[in-house]
Amino acid sequence: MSNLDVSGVSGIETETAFHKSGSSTDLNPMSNEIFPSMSQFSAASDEFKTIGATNYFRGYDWSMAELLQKLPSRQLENVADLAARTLLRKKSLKPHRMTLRLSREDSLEDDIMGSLDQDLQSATDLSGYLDSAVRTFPTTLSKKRNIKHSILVKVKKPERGLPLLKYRLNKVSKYFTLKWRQFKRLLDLWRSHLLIIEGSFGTSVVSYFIFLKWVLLINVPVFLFTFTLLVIPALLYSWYGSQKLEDDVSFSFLDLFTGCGYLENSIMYYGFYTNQTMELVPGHSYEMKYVYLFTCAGYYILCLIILGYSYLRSYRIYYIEAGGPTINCYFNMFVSGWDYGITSNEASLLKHKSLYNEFKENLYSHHKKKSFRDKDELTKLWLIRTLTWLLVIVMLTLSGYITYFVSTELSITNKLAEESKSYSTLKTLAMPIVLSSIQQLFPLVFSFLESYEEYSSPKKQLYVHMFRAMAFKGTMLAVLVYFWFAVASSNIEQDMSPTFAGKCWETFVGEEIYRLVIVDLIFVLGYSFFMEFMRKICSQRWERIKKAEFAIAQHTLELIYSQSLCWLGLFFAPLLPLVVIMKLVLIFYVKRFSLMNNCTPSVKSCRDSRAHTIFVGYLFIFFLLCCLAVGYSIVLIKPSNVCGPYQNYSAIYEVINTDIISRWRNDSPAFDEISQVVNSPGFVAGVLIFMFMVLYYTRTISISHRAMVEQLQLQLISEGKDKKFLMNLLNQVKIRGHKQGILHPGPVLQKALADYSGPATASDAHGGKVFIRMVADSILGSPLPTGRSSP
Amino acid sequence: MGGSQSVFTDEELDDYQTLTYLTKKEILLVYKRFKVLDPEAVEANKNARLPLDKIRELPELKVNPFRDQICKVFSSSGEGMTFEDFLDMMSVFSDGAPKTVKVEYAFRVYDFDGDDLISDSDIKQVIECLIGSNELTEDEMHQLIDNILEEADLDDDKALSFAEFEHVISKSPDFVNSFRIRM
Repeated sequence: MSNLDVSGVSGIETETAFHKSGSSTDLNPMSNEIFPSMSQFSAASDEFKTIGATNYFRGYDWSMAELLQKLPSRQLENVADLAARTLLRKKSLKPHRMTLRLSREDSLEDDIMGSLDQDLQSATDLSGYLDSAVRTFPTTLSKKRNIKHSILVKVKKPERGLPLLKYRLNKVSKYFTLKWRQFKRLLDLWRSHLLIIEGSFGTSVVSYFIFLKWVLLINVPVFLFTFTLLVIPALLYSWYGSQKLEDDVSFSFLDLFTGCGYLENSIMYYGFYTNQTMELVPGHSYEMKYVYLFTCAGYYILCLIILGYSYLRSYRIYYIEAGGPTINCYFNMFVSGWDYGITSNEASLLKHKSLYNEFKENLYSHHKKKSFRDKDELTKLWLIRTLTWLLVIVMLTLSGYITYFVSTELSITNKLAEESKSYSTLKTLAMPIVLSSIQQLFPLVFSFLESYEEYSSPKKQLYVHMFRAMAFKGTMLAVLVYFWFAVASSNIEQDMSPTFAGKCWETFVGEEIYRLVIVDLIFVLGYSFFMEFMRKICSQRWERIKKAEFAIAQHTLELIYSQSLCWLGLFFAPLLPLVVIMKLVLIFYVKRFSLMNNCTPSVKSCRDSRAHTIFVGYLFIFFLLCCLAVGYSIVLIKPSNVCGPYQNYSAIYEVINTDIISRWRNDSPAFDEISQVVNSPGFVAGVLIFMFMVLYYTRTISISHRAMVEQLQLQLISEGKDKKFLMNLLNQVKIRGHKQGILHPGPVLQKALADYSGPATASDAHGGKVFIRMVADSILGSPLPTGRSSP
Repeated sequence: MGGSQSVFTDEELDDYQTLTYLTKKEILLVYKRFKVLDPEAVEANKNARLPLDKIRELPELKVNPFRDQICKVFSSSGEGMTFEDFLDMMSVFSDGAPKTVKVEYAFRVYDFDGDDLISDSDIKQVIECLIGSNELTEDEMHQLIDNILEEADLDDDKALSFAEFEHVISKSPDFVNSFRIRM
């Protein structure tokens, strides 16, 4: 150890060098695969292993550490550091690596200052991004301050022209981003509640509440939209205008549940909005039929933008960036296993436990993957899975049929209409209650079936379950929509019975959706009461019953369902967002209370960002389906003649077609021509073909990129092995030289290394290959060729 | 809150605001949390250097298995933390801090021996911290370390350099959510 020159190596490095040397000898067989022709060298290294037991072993470590330090890749890192440390790079706000050893920490400031100085001469308008640049320096606050002050002294304020404008713009934008940040904090609803939940249950449970909050916040702008543009004008018109209010219906508490009675002719529903031109301010007319349609288009587009943006964003983060050829489940657990937000002792113990289980589970499934199931088992498994899927499909059909049956029997035909009033309340609520109970029951059957399917991981099982549950909700909604649009819309007006006299089918649809929303709320609250609260009471009495775990996936799917009801009903009941907002607020507080008092944290962790993407994806799909349904009703179904803004039109869409477009056509002939061209089949086909070409092009590019990435990865790995192989080789040369009493095995090699450890410049950036060639040269040309001593 | 408002001058708050990822309101919150750790010392001198034992009393750190490492990384002098150190720490853990900054500090936290590489012994220590009192067998631990390295160690040198760490962490979307202390 002492006879080698090791003055430059610090104590810390010895340790790592030890690990490295241990591992690199282990890996020799691997380099055999890459360099089969050089197998004699690895044979030599085998021989070396036996020598390793002697006192040369330590010498080997030391020289290895030294060699590692001199590797071009290490030099490259330094070069990259220096380059990245310049402020010009920082323009792209890419912070860089500056973790330096503790011993060098003091010189860090000087380093940064030095490199900044250079930039200052070339750039004058630094101050704009100076703050954000300084913020990213991984050093202490006081040092950051020093750096900032010493730079600020040197930065000259631009005097005139474009630089001055830029400077000022920068200041203004900085001011506004700061204000925005402060404002955003004010908007942050329920922050303290979320903190408490996160502290005691971790990020997975809190993600449900954050999702709830997000859904609620989507509804707020939609509500403001409808409220200002539709509700207020309609109210003013009915107060001051000529529309007569039906006062004969008195308010009863039950109306809140059924949505009929007093509420039926209120601003709640479509039927209230008039088709007459309002003139609240003389000289200015307000045509409800246009406003209604455009407001509707407005909020659907708004939702589309919000949802599309957040879905694509989370898709990009979780699938594209995190995707690639492999999913790093172990590393993921390693690096983001701990929730830094946990504060309670109980939660931390559980976290330890769940991480332990997850590690074990992964290791186990890793093993299982390797051992193939035999053929019989496999066929049996697939048979079971096919059967369960068939069963699920049968259940879906069944649920669809039940929905249709209940709707036609109870909502339309008035077998029970003459019965007593309380009975009719029950009748109106029958459909939603049946639907919600089916929704509670069927998923239980699904879970039962899934226990036989033996999915390879619990996550997969969860995804399958979620898919089935959503398909199930989707089927029922689709049947309902079919019923409303195909059956109810044509039946109601022909029906002369007292129940539907003077009632639009649109209002009827609005009422039905209102009922579904309310009953859903009751079931959610009921679940909290029976499944969480009662279970806790039972658990206090009997040991065997445990407190309920918070079912994140189920609750989130319920939220998605409730939100899609809201979107479906928006057009028919413009005040529905308000109802949904109140419902969500209520759910938040009830769930929060129930969670903190009645639930236990789950041992299974579901902290899966992938799950979040799936949730947003379902929300997005349901939104699109709702849009489709509403769009269909606007374009193709005849609006009712009795009430609403579109009496006497054959379809709502006609308002645009006949009134607006024909008016424009008459006004300007150019518009006529443009619309003709746009509507021609040739044009449409051309646009379609163009879009397909773009799609094809991007797809080709992405495929080629993926192939490239794979190749580069392979190359990286093989170069790593090259390195290891050469390191071993080089080391042997040294050791052998040492063994034979020659301290410097090859003057050429020494010189090559010395040259390399000199000032690293950017031109060395391609140095990997050059370095290897140099080393190889030096070995071949050295006065002590290895070939002589190796067999 | 009204009391701590007057502790800092406007310039100080502005200064902190530009140097960290926190807003003024959050900085005052951080101060409040700092003060709770040792009211008397902080009352006497707001820049008091609290011993690390006191810092570890912060609820989030108290249950965090990496508390010693975190204290080590953020303490400017190696012994105790001043308010500015504390502010620095909360800034890195805040929602506003970008992923790159978080990655930088996470690397330091997980680099137990401080050699600028996350070696297999570091990984072992991290896993031991993560699973707490539960124990894995030697074999399982070995397998686990191998799996992690297989995923993350691109150049196959049995240790993660920062570049590798940064690269692989870009594929861990959960990292930002977990490496965070909300206020």
